[in-house]
Amino acid sequence: MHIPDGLITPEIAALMYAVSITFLAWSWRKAKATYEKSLAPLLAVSSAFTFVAQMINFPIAYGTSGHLVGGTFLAVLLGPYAAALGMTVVLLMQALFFADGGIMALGANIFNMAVIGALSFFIIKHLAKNTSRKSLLFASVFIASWLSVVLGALACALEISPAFSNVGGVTATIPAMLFWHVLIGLGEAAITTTITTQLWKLQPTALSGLNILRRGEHARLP
Amino acid sequence: MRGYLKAIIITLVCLAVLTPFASEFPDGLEKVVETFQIEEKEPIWNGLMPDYTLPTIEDKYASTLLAGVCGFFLVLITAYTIGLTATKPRGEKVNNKKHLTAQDVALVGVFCALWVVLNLYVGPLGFQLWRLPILCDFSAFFTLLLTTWATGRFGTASMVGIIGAIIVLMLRSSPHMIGFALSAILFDALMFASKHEINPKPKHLATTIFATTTSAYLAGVIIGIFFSNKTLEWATIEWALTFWGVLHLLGGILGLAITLPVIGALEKAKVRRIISA
Repeated sequence: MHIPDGLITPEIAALMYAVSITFLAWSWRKAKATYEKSLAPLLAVSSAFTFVAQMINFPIAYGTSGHLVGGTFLAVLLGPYAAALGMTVVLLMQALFFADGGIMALGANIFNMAVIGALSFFIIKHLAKNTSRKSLLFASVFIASWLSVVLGALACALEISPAFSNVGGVTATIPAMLFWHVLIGLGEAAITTTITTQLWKLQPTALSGLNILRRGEHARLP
Repeated sequence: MRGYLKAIIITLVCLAVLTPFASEFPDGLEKVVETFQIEEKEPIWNGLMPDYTLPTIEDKYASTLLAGVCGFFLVLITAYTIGLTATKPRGEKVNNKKHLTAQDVALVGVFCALWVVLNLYVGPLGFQLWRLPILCDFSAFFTLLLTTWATGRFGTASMVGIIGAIIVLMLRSSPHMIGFALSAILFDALMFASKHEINPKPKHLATTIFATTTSAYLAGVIIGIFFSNKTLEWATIEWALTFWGVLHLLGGILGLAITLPVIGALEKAKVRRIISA
């Protein structure tokens, strides 16, 4: 879902930079008020893991592949604010060193993957409100991670539509993007839910994001 | 910290095992672009490792794996720095020896740059002038000694060695850097004997000299055996163990002879107190 520079117009790129930077500034302020320094190693390791996971493409159908985005995964692990920052680091490194996603398009990519991924935390929060049942919690993780990919793809379809003006603009990009990403989202949801349940068993302390949900408080993290 | 180390190792093992199985098909967005046959404009920037490969390495698996490891550590260090800065300001001073501080991360960055510059420009000079590798060792150990002295902890020298070596590998095809990266890790481990202190105390001085010469020798042996374009046979190993290893050891001693006075001067000027302030 990484938009290359060749597919985005300068106006949209600038707009998305503005939106993303606003959101990141908000995350930074919230993070500074919320987290202790002990967050650093967890943030580092989980972001680096997400980078590696994004390298491993899995085939879906008809000669197309997808990979884990990991926004929801980071949100479950770290809470929404640190997740947005961690994901941004991953996207920044990909754009700077690996030509995966353009530098101009970085703002748009941060919005599609880091911002929407981090906000999917609130989907989990809403769905799993006042529940202590594990199955319900993980069902909402599944739904949130699927939604994060589909909504990201929808945003992506809108952002790249000017490049498709010859073939119909949004009427071409939205159905096509959604068709593939509904499927890729299932892979994302399956991987995210599997890793979170395994972590829940092995290292429950690492799931500070979920722990906030369970305690129903936002202020003490992690 | 143990848990995090485990997580790092598991992730890198997963990367090594799963990379060959990663799907080559276009991803969702690329497929959409293909379907509608959209002409993409040329990108303005192609990155140092386009498509997760190191251009200087031909073997596809090794190239992707190294690029992945490189990106893994880039993200790890950057996210760690952000984790330290975007969190509540710390009230009391903590035990510096336990956690990597923001200063340490910054110092690692600076010394990586020093490593890259020295190994790109000073190291090869010795080869061109005298056909000897000693300036390579000087470049490596000058940087490693200064790193350990400035940070006074385990891990920083290894980081500089590994990251620096990968950057040099990206810019120039010089596989002997892998030998120096390994010797940086050995150096870092041996320096435990002086608690990563470099000062004139006899015990610490002896440890520093021992660690430097041993790891320089190791670098020579590894480079001699694996990266000197000789066929792998007993004669090569013997040559690496004696001639090439000892040459590198001499390079290490040259490094010591230059670095220790430099450190002494810096210590006198109270540079370390300025860094840690």
